[in-house]
Amino acid sequence: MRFLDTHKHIFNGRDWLKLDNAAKVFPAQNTKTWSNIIRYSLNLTEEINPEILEKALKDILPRFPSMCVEIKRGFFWYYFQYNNRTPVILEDTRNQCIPIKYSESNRFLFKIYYYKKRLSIEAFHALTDGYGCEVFLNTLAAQYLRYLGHNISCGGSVFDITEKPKQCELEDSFVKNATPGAKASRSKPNVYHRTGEKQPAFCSHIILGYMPVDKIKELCKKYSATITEFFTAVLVDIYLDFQKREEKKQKEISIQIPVNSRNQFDSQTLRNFSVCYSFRLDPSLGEYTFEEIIRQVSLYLRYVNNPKTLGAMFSSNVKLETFPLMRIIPLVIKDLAIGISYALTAESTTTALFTNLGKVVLPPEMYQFVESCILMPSPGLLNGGRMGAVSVGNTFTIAVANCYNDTDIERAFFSKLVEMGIPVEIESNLF
Amino acid sequence: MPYCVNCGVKLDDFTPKCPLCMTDVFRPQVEEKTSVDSPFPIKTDIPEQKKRKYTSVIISVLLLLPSVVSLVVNYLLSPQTPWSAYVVSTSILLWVLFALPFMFKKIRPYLLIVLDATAIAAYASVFFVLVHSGEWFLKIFIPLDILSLATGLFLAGFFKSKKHSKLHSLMAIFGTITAFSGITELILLFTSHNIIFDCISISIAVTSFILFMLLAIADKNKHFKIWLTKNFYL
Repeated sequence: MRFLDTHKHIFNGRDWLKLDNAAKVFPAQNTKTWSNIIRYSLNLTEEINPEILEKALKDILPRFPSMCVEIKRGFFWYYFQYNNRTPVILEDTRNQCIPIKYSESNRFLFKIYYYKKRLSIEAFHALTDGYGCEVFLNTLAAQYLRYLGHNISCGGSVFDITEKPKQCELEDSFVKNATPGAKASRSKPNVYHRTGEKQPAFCSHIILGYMPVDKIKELCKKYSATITEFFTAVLVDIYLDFQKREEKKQKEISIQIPVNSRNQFDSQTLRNFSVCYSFRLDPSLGEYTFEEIIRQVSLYLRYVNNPKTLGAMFSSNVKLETFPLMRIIPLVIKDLAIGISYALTAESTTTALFTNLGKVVLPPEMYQFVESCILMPSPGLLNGGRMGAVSVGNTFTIAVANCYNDTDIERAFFSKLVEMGIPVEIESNLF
Repeated sequence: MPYCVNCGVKLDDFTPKCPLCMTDVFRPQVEEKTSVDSPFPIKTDIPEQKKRKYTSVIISVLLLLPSVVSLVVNYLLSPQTPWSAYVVSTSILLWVLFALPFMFKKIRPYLLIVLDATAIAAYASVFFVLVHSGEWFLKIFIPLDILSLATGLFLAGFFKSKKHSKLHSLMAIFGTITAFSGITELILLFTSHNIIFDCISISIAVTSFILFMLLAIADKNKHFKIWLTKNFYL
């Protein structure tokens, strides 16, 4: 029993773990063809050797006990059970972010993929968020490069695998940082959606756009905005334009922006610790110029992104979890209620999603082996453009996962960036 | 590396068209690249979906068990009273309603509605034959079953024909409820004089008719429609 001997202190002497507060909703949202999956990839400079990769994976696993779990159904809640099998490494496929079949992943909630020079992890969101995937894959890539004879140190998002895992990496930071008594509003109106003919089940259009970070920064500086604010504004602008052309009732545009809360709190957790802000713009208030949109986005994000608001958001969610009636309701009913609530309120209250993982920090000697990183959220059930952004070195990547046949959102988005003077290089799974 | 002449984005060496605008990419001086160079793999992974037929088999077995047990017990203990007919007919009805839809690869609404209405009529006929209580079966039940069948077929046809706006969908639903309750009222008026039945069908018919008219007015009146869509997100 490798686990009980080495990680007893981490799991408090048990071989199971509660799901964190945010993770509790994800299993209930699953459908036959859709699951909330996060994909994080590294484009290396050399082709990947799967045998060496397997060795590297076995080496790093003990450092990440939070990843070595399988999900089980309890009577009242789901829980994570320690899994001492070995995760699977598979050759990548054209359709990505499809639900993980646990019978094919040795019961793990993540899979490692490789294709030529690209190394990827796909993880069920209940397990971790983008940051957790980033740390795990970067540490795996570093160990893999060490096997190839390169001298890679630790630092940034590459963890020291000789170090013991820390208790704080497994904590539920939502519960720890919730402000008791604080309340955050949950009401969200129905908003504009750009829909169309859907792709077949398990398929989606993936378009990757690579851009130089310095050019983006120049442009952001011109508008006095951060990168997230700038791209959110671009997205709002194109959706406003689409809606205006449809000549229907003008609904609000709402962009969901997941934010890594670790930046606001002293948290080192490798489990979920990101929350979503929803930036909304009402076109019935009049015409907006791009400058006005970017100003609105900047003001909103800078106003809400603070520990007080986040604490209140955590508190609302934690209160729901700890509500006595909620505790005694059997899981089957909870699943049903969450599933219905998700169908009615989640994607129907957002137009699109833009998540920015930010700058990936690697040990200095590792940068030469990493060309770019990719972060991709799973394609939506209703939202067409779901975008993930991440940068490493001077390469900024935006990945768009689209469940519809039309790629007009992507075309409008990237064309606008080209018009603004940002050179964009495109890759896609269309051909 | 080529650029799209329409979007201005840089494309990978492999792609035959711009993925954004589908403009063809011409590279006369570059050797044709093969699919091996594609930035994405060719292989797709389509997980095998749990076969619908398995669900159907499980439901069938679950329904078959009580039927067989009750038939055997009925035959051994009290062969003179055919009480197991109730259990068997209930199982058959439940099988048609819940197991049969899973046997089709594609959902066939018209066929399923016809089968459901037939099964319900057959189920009621078992009671009619065994109990021999009055003319309710022929005078009330059969007309209501046919009416339900017609209503189901109309709604299936309406929603299958094309995508309707929420307003028109609601109008169709309320209109159908009005018609259904109205005809039910007429059937009951000629066959039964039960005041409770009368109240229920009339109140449902009147309520749904008012809602139907409100929506119809909203459909014609622009200002009212805007107010309604703003307040109820229709």
